[in-house]
Amino acid sequence: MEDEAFSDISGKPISLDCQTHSSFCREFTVSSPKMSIGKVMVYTCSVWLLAYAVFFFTQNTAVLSSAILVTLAGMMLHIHFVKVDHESLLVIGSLGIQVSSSYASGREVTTFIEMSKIKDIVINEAVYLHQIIYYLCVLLKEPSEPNEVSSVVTLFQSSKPRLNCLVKVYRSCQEILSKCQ
Amino acid sequence: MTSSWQRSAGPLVEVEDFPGPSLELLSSQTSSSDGTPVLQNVSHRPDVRCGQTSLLLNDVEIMVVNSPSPLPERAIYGFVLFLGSQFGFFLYCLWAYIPEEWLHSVGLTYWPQKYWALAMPIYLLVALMVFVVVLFGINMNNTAPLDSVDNVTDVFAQGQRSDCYRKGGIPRLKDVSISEVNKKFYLSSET
Repeated sequence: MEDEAFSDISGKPISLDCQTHSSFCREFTVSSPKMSIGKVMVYTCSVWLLAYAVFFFTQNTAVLSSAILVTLAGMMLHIHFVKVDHESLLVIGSLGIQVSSSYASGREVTTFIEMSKIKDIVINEAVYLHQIIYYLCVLLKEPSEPNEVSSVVTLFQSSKPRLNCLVKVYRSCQEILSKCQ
Repeated sequence: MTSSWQRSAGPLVEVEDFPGPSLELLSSQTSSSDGTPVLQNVSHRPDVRCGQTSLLLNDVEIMVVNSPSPLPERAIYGFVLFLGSQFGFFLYCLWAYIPEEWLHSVGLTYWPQKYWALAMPIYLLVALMVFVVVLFGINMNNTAPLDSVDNVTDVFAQGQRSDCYRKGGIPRLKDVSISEVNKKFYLSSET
């Protein structure tokens, strides 16, 4: 379990945790940085100041209460649906891989992909908005056509780590996959 | 005809001066250590009409190169365009400022409304700004998302034939699969 100074594509620090459960089972967990209290305060204050400015001109108190409700509801939706706390990849040789991402509210979304559908786990480069990023993805194949890539599942897409972190995960995964495929 | 060395980046050739405008196209570097040219009998024949120069090797034309260098003809075209555009702007200002009654009295009755003197430039500018934004947006829309197969392979790469080549021959040009590329980059013994 090493924790070097990894960062995501925008430079924010993330941490990678590799656990080797056995010779054919490994788990990688990438943790995103937590929400900073400063940012939350800035957003809340700006929304409330805007609401107060609107109230100042319209003298309608419903604006103030609706601003409070909007910020509360927005924060709850954000931590439940948007803010990812950590993402993990569990590779079990000859069985499959399990991809799970857990949100800041505790919600967990898990997907299991069986080994017969997996063609490979690769690091690919693609255009993302205004830049080209490296990302780790699972190439899936149909059992009837073993030589063609049918679909792609991206890993760690909320906490997009940079290449040094991806290479570590890639090497570990390939050790298991090359033995068990 | 005298041969002269002229400075620029290029192969060592000997340039012969033809009578006519002298151009610095594809001319040679300064002489080598012993001063002898590398190629003999290579000359340039500039075509002043269209800015092309052809390379003559032993008096056989082998290459035509379009160059954007300044030519007298191009200067004349540019000046004519400049004068024409300035005159067109002057006429536009005349039409925009002269009141309609005066234009009618001269006999010019069938001209657009003066509203368009302001509306047309504003339309053009707004269209330009919207075009920039829309172009950016269309490009972003057409970019394949990260989880699309198009980032990994396409119809042509999947349909290529992996036929074996002759021993010692040049292998057919084909797409290397992403797995092989990854193994080469990240699994070879590099730190």
